Amino acid sequence: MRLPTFFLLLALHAEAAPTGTVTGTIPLPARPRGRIAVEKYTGTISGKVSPPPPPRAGVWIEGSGTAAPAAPPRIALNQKGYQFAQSLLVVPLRTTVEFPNDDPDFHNVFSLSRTKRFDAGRYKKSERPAPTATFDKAGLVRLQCEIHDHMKAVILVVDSRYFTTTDATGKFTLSGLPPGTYTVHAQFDEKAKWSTSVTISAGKTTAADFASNPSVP
Amino acid sequence: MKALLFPFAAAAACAQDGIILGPADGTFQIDIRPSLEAVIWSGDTPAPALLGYDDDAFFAPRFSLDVDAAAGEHLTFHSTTRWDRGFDAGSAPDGELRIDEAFLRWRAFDDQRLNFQLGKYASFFGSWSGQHDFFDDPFLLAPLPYSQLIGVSPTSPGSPLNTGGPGGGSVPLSLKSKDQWASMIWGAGYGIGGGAFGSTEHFDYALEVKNAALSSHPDAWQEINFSHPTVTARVGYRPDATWAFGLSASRGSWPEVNAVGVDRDDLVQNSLGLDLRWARHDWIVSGEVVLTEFETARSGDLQAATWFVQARYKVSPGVWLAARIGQMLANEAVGPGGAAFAWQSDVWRAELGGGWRIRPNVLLKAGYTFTHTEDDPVAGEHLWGTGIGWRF
Repeated sequence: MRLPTFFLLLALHAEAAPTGTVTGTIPLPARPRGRIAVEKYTGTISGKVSPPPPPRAGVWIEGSGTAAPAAPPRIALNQKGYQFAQSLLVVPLRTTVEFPNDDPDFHNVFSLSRTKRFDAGRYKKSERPAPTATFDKAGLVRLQCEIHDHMKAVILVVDSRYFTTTDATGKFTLSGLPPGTYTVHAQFDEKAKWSTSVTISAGKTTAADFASNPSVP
Repeated sequence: MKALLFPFAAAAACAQDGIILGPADGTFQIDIRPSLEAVIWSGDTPAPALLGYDDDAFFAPRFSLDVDAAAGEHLTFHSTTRWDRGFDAGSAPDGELRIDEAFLRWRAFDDQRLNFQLGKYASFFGSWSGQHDFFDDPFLLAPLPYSQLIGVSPTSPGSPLNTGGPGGGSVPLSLKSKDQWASMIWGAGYGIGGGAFGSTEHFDYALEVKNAALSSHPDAWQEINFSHPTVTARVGYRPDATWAFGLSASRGSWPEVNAVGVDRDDLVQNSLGLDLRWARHDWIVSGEVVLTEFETARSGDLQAATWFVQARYKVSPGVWLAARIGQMLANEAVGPGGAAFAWQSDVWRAELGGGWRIRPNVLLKAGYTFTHTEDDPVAGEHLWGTGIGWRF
């Protein structure tokens, strides 16, 4: 066997290392709906206002070898239809998030959360480079638009490389996990948090039972 | 009873979102948001602008209750009810309860092309009225065209001119009761009426018919009397979000009362306004020019021009600094015997302001205002203000 072929097979073996999956359902709380998306005075909205994105929770695991990567890829959270594209975004530590504006009017994303305090200023449609913020502390970051009071979103910063979000009903699937025992965390907002322990086996799907692990205060 | 209450989910105590009520299917929703603003004013007396107190310092708390309701996607209602010590701080020192805004809005399409609005609401004239809320305005005081007493008395249309101060007489305008005189545009102009407005990506347009002239005192806004309506329109153009230009015009009878020998229809306030805004990232620069003319029976047409330019710069998240400068000029009136006299002093105003948004729902603001009124040695010049706004 030639040496390059040997390394190729080794790499393929590494790629195909057996992994497992964890699934579950987060009991999403009855979330307050967003404020009525009609501005009191004229001049700040010239297009159609979309319905707010559905509520979601963030899910991630912690354990040996799960720490956030040193240089996670940059991702975007767009503003379109005078709403954030997602109600909740989970990002690993050190992630830089772009905030592109796809509306004809200004948006001004800002956060005064302790986890990350930033103000992107007024950015117009398709302006490049889009404003960014780098999240280097784990925790929950509440986003708002200074101009459009109804626009709200959450960024959940986690020290993990294995994470996902639930769907609007609270269901999630997190796959590609190395076998082992981990803690699965889920979080909806500052108060609604859950965690439970799971053991991942290669090639198997494990159900995370949050029902016996009530919300962490 | 339980069946009636079941579909309603009250989500309370979420700071800055107030209380949101409505059935789960979203066909109907009510948002209730209380807020508190408290400002301490201090400086010269008599207080400049439209402030109505005579003390060295004045505490002006304001409790507001904003109610928004939506039925379906096109019909909305908004009201703002306030308790404070006067619409202009000090004008009701013992406190008063008012409904400043209450209007029904119907949006004809899914976007903002055409809306109809009926009720009591801020004037469509200019651009400042749309950003005069505590959390939107970088200053504590309204700009010069919206908050400077001028020498026309809408409550005395038979002899409307200020003849004190520069025009002769012994009592300058700054010492007279402010509720008897006019401002070119008084505050946000919460008159009663109806109108239509809309926006597209590049254009804004608005037309309204209201019960009171732009210069009218807040007391006149409450009267449901459309025998002498004021018509106001604005057209705006935005090449993109960075720039915004607007042209406003208004015409309406300025006296608020009838008087012997005076036909209110003959006494009209005509106003023309130009507004301009440039914004990018941490900067917002805006300004307005307002020309106004009061037709009188015996003193000719009284004309005044005002401009202001203001800039706001964010120095860090939630912290900003602002500055504003403005000027008011006026023509001369025709006095008895045909002699000309000054009915309104020239005024300069320079302002500095700052704000710190401690939390999304808590804002601290402070400001200093210097107002110089020509030929009026007793007019107050220095004004300091510090205030906090809290949305619950």
